[in-house]
Amino acid sequence: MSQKGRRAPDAHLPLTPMVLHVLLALADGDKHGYAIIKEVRRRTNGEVELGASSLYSVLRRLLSDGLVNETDERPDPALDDERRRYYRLSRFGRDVAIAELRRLDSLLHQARAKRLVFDHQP
Amino acid sequence: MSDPGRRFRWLMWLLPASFREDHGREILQAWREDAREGQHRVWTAALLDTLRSAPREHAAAWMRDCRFAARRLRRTPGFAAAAILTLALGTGATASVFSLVNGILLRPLRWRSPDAVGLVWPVQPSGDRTWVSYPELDDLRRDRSSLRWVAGLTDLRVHFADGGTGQELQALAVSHDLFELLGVAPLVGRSFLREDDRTGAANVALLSYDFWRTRFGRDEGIVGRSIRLNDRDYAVAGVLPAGFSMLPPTSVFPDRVDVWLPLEPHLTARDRTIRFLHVLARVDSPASFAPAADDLRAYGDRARRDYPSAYPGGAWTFTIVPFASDVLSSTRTPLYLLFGLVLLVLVMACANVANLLLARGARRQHELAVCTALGAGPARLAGELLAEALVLSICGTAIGTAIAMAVPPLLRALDPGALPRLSDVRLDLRVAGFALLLIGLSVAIFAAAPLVERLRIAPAAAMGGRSGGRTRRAARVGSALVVVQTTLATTVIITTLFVGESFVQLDRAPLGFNADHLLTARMTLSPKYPHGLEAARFFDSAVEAARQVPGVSHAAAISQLPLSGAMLASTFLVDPASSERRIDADLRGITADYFTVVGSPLLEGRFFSAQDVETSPDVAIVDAAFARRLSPDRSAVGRRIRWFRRPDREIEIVGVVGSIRHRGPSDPPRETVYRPHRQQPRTTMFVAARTIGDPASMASSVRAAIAAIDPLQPFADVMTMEQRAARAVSRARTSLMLAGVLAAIALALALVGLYGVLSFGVAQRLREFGVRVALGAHPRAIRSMIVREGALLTACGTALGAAAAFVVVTTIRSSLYGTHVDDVRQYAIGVVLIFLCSALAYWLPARRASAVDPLTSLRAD
Repeated sequence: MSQKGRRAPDAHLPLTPMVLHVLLALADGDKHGYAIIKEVRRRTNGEVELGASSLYSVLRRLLSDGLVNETDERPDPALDDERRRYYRLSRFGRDVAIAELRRLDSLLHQARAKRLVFDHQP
Repeated sequence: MSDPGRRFRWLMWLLPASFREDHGREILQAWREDAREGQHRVWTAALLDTLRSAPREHAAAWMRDCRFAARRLRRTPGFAAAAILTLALGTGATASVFSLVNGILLRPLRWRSPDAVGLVWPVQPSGDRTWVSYPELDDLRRDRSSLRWVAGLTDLRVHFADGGTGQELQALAVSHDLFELLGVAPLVGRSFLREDDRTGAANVALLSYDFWRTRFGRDEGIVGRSIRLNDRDYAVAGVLPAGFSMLPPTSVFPDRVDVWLPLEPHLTARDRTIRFLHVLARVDSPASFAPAADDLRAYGDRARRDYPSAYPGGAWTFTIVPFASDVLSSTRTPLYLLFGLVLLVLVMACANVANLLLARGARRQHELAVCTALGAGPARLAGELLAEALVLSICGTAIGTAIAMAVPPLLRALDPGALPRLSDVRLDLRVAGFALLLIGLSVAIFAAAPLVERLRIAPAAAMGGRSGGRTRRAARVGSALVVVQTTLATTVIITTLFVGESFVQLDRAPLGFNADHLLTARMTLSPKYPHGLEAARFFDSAVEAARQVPGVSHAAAISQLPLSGAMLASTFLVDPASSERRIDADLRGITADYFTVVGSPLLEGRFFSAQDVETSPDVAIVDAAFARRLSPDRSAVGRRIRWFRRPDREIEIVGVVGSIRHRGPSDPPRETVYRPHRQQPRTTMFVAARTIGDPASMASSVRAAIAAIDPLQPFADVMTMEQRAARAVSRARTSLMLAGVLAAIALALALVGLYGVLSFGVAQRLREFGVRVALGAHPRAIRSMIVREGALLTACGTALGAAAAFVVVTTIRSSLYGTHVDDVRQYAIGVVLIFLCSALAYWLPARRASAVDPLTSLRAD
C-alpha cells in the first residue's frame, strides 16, 4: 500500500495479541515464517502457540496493510533454505507496534494508579 | 505408509485456493519442521489451526475476488449493464410473482391455526353447494361431534345516521363465539358475549379497525358509547385489530366489513328451507377434516329423515372443506401458472447471461491463458469467474427485488380487487430468502457453462491461437443455449396467447343486456320505511326523480342488480297445484321500465306496467333459461307457478325475456324469475339510470334529485355498469396483464439472446468469411448460410416450445374460456412471432458477415 493511501498508525489499534506477537518477533530482525513461530513460542514459554495457517493468515493481512514487507536480503546461504521467504517489519509497522505498546503502557499505568497491579507483583 | 506431507496437503484444501497458492508451500514446510522437531500433537494443532483460519480466509478471499470482479466489470460497462439488466428483468419478474404467491397463497390467514378452520356446506341433489339455514346452524352448534367450534355469519347492510346525513355500512351478523373460533381478540374493548347473541338482548356492535380509524379517528373512548344504526342505538363493545379481515368465502360475501353485530337479534328468517348463512367450523387439526366430513354426512342423513320436506329430491348431504384452500382455489391455478412461466423467463435470462459470459470468456482467452501460464491455477480462475457471476447476480437481484417491491403497490393502485389478499402482499423474510435463493440459483445456472469452458483452457493452444478464436465446443454450448431460449420463449408466448384469447372471449361474452351509458347505485333504506309498501313507494319516487334529471333517458330499480354480487336464490313450485316439481331460480324485484333501461329483449308476452301493483293479480316475467326448464316445447306465457315461501298464491307468467349473466361473463345464466317490486318489495334496491352522455358525470345530479325526496337515504356503491363489468373480469385481466408482461420479456430476451450468439459467432468467423469471399463466394451465399444456421436453431426451439406449450395448456385447460388446447391458430401465431423476431436477430449479423472485406479480415490476423 502506498504511503499516501496509508491510514495513521492509531487507525490500526487495538492490535490482536497474535498480530502484536508477530510484530514483536520481527522487531529485532528479518525472519521467515517458521522462525517467527519458534520465536513466539520461545518468548512466551510455549504459552502462545502460533499455527502455520494462522501465522500466514496474519502475515497476509500485515503485508497488504504495509506493516510488514517481504525482503530479498538473505542470510548466509550456508544457513538458509532457498525456498524460504523472509519478512521484515516496515517503518510503518514499527510505528503501529509502538503506538499499540504505548496504549498498553498507558493502560498499565492507570491500573497501577488504581493499585490493581504492582510494579513487582509476585 | 503414506506420506504425512500429502495428508497435510489434503487438510490444506480447507483453505482458499489463492491462499494455498501464495503460502501453501511455506505452511507445509513450517508444519514439517514442527513435526521434525518432535512437537506434541502436530496433527491436532494443525487441524484446529486450519479450521480456525479457513472461514476468515475464505471470507477475505471472496471479498477480494468480488472487489476485483467489480473493478473488472467497471472497465466493461456495456457488458456489465447488459448482464445486470437481463438478470434484473428475470429476477424482478420472478420475485414479483413469488411475492404474490407468498402473500396470497403461502402466508397463513391472520387467525389462530387457520388451516384447521373449514366452511360447512349443504350439498343439493344437483351437486351444487348452498348456504345453511338457521335451524341447521342451531343443530350443528348443539351437536358438534368432531367440530370444536361452529359459527354462522350473514351479511347485511345497515343505515348509519352520521350527523345530518345517512351512510350505508356493510355489516356482518355473526355468532358470538366467531372471534373465539378464529382466535382473534379485539384491539380495544371486549368481544361478543353469549348474552349479546339472544333475541331481545341490548344492541351491541364491534367496529372494524378501518371504520374506527376513518370515522372515529382511533378514539378509544368510543367503547361504551352508542352509535345509531337502523334508527336504533347500539353500544360499541370494542374494535377489532387492524390486520383482521374476513376473506369472502363466496362472491355474494362483502369485500370489506364496517361493523359486526351478534347474529341472533339480526336473523331475518328461522325457516329450515331459507338458507342464507355462511358457516365456519374449527376442527382439532387439518387431519380432522375427514372425520368431521363423516359426522356431517351422518347429520345430513338424520336431518333428511326428520325433515323430509326441507330436503326435496332426497339426496342432500352436508360437507366441510378447509377454508383457505377452498376460498383461494380459483386464484391458485392462475398464480401457479404465472409462477411457472416466470421461472422459464428466469432461466432464459440466465441463459442470456451465460452466453454473454461465454463470449466475454472467449475474448479474454488470451489473457486467461497468460494468467495460467504465470501460475494461476484453474481453481483460482474459476473463483474469479464465480466472483464475477456473484457480483452480477447480486446487482441484478437487488434491482429485481426493488422492481418486485414496486409491483404489489402498483397492482393495488391499478385495481385493489384484482386479486384476493392483495393487502397481505409485502416483502417479508420468505421473499427476502427467495431473493437470496435466486442469487444462488441464477449463479448456478448461468455460470455453469462458462465455468466448464474456462476450466478447459489450455494455455499453449490459447496463446498460440489466432485472436482468441472461439472453440467449437463453446459454439455448440452457445447454440444449445439459443435452442433452450427459443423453446422457453415459444412456450411462454403460446401459453400467453391462449390466456389472452380466453380473456378476449370472456370480454366479448354476451351479458344479455346493454352495459353502455348506465349509471347504477345501491340504496338501503332506513327503518323509517318498514318492509313493504313505503319502501316500494320511495323507490317509485326515486326512479321518477332520476328520470326527470336532464341527460337521463330512462330509470328503473331492481333488487339484485347484475354484476353487483347481490342475489337471492329461491325455489318455485310448478303447476299443477298437486305437483311437487320445483325449479331453483333467482328471484328479483323490478320496477316497470327495468328491461327497457338495461336493454334486455322481450321474447314473448309483455313487460310489467304501472298497473302491476300490490292489489292486482300476482304476475312474473321469467327468463329464457327458466322458460326452457319449465317446458322446452311449450310457451311459458300464461302458465302458473308458486313461490315456495307462499305456496298458497299462484303467480301468472306474463312474459319471457332473454337470459342475463348476473354473476359475470364466465358464469352461465341462472334461471331467474322477475316480479313487480310492488308485489315483492325490498328495502335494498339498485337504481339504474340510462344516460345520454357520460354516465359517471351524471352521478351527482341523480344523487341530488333523489336526495330532494329524502336526504337521509344513502346512495351507495355508485358505479357505471361498464365499471361493474370491468370489475367482474378484473382477476382474469390481471392474470392476463401479468402473463402479457412476461411474454414480452421472454420475447425480448429471446431476441437479444439469439442476436448475441449469432453476432458473436459472426465476429469469431470473420476470417473464415474473408477466405470464402476471397475464394469467390458470393456475399449472398454467406448471408444465406448465416440465416440458415439461425433458422435451424429457431426451428428446433419452436418445435420443442410448441410441444411444451401443448403440455402447459392441457394442464390449465379448466381455467380457459372459449378456447381449446388444440386451437392450431395460437400455435401458428406463436411460432410465426418467434420466427419474425429471430429473423430480425440474425439478419443484422448476416449482413455484417456478407459485407466483410477479405483483405481487412485476413490482415487482422
